[in-house]
Amino acid sequence: MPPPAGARRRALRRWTPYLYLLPMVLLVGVFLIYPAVKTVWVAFTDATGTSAGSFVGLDNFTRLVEDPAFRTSVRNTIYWVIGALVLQVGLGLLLALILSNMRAGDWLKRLFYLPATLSGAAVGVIWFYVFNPDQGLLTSFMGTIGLESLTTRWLADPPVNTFAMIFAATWQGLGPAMILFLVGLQNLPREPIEAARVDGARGLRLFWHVTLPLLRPMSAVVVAITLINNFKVFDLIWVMTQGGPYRSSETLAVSMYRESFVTFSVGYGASIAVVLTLIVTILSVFYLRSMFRKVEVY
Amino acid sequence: MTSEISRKKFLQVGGGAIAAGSLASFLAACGGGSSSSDGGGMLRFSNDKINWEEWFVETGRLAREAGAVGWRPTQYSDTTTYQAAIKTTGNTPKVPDMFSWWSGWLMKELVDTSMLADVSSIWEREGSAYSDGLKDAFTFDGKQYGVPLNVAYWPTFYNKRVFREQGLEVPTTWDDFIAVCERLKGAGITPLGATIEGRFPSFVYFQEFIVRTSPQLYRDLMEGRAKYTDPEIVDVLRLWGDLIRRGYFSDPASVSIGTGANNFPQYFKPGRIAMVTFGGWLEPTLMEAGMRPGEDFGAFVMPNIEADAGNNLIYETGPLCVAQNGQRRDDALEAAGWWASREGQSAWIDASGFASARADVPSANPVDQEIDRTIADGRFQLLNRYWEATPHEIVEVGVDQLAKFMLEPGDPKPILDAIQKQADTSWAAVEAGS
Repeated sequence: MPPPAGARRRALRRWTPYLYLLPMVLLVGVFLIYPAVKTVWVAFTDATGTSAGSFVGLDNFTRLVEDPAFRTSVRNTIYWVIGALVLQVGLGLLLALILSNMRAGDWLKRLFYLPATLSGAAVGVIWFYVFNPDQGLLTSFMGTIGLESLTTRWLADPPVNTFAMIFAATWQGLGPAMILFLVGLQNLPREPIEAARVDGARGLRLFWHVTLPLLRPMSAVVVAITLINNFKVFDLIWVMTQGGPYRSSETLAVSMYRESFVTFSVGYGASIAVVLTLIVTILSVFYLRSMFRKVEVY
Repeated sequence: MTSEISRKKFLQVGGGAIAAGSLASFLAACGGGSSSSDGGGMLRFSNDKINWEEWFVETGRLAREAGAVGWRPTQYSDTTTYQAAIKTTGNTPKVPDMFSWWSGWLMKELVDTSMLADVSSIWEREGSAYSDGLKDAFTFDGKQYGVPLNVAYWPTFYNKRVFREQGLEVPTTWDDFIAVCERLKGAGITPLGATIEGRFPSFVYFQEFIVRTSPQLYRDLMEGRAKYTDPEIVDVLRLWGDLIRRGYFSDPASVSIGTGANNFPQYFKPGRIAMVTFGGWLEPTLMEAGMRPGEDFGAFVMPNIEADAGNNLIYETGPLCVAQNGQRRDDALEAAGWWASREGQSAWIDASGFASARADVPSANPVDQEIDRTIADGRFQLLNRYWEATPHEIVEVGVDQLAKFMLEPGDPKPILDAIQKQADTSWAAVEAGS
């Protein structure tokens, strides 16, 4: 005897939401979870791209500790993250503050956002030419203003090459940070600011003690996005220096790619991927938890 | 109420359709490529020679017209991605029917994992038209696994107008060569182009100066019988460092030759740089910049540093390989046979303008023809370039360390120590594997 119509409907109602989820679960499972789990496994093997390799325990991870190129890579990644936090987040906030009080702000913010619409590779090509030590725009400009003695091989001398690329990334990454801060500024509650003004708070004091704490939810988002983006920066570096010369401008993401797809030490490359993912995950979780805890206080 | 029901229905039906659609297309993507199962259609020919596409299309069409199976190229713009694509699909039915590769150790890796079809029968038929050195580059355990896709010699190109204006002759001895460099430098012209852009070009003058000192030393170093730390190699780096310090080379961080920004013609054409040692595949770049081969630029073999080093020239050759596991292996073997034939090579040289690998097919331009004559008349020994001649792990460390030396030409010892450290590891692994 078939189940009564009511029961069938109930069963259908119970399963329908899962049906909606199915495509996404499949996509995430196949393209995210499976490769991630596989990468962790590969990190414990000596896979080479043409052979699956065999289990080597922690060998890849102990090799990481002894590898000078990995140490350079970690150091450069730290430069990138700190540089991006100071320049992209700091300048982004400064620009947002300036532009939100300017009449021409609307036009200027469009102008500052423009580089963000370019791909990382295109930005890399543009700045590659700017930094050319012989015919590049920067060297010519410095020569014109009499600072020729300060010019160098921008992309060939470490650590200047990493700083040069951080500058190029800032040119592109400034716009989104600025826009997010502008949105945050526009949505600030008026009352606390007006109350602070009535109490005599002005300028930097008002900004530091009232505006900045009120902006904290947006700052948390901007800092988190910037952190994650700069931990995994790859395209710009690959286009501008390929991590060179002599591996001096590699970051963790570039080293991971190089070991996996240039030298085909796939197991070793996977171990870098695991370390990078662990760092980003742990930092993100701790940072966001601490930020949101503080947000709740206010 | 009506609208609520229709929305639900829409979501149920639409959602189901999207789910089914995604699944179907995903499964289709996981299955075999449709283009490879179309019977007599064109073969899939993958390569990373992005600028050669129209030449491949043209020769593929001619192959079909000639009765062999034709091909349609799939170009990869990035060599690294390309290598990853071939290596990861090489033992699956997804592998392209034919593909370009590199000779020597990079090729051995694919041979060892049974990715390449044996093409010895093609060499039996066509081999007499090719040099033995070329055949050796594709031979492993007595069998051949590729036919020559391209061959490029590595002479020194020079700007003929600059040489005329400076009253210079092509140098035939090392002293002449140094005198030419000195004269050019005195005239405010950078004698030699050099670059680290694209990573690989840092080996160019390293291999050249070793070969000009002793070809046997080069062979021994490539095959692990000599060490990078041997006094002869240290001396070569000292000499190179001395020439860099004398200002004979362009700033390797400014000029890019053959890859990336590829701005070399901007220096070479107006005569800001007078010479460059590089692969013959640089010629189309020079010609695109408006330089005429034989009139605006020529080529010579760099004179020997040690006069008794003999007649030697670095060359590179890349194979056209047939996938052992390809779905249309027999068709691809037939196509590779046509490619290696006189007719196929004539079509390729006509289309590309490159140097010819076959003795009975003349090269396309006067510069290459002159090099062909020089090689034949002087009974030159051809030596495979550094990139292919030694295990690739050593090459990877080598090009980085040599780039460092080009930027800071100081004490060669730490540079050579670092390369030798990798060489020790790699040769030990080769020993263990054999």
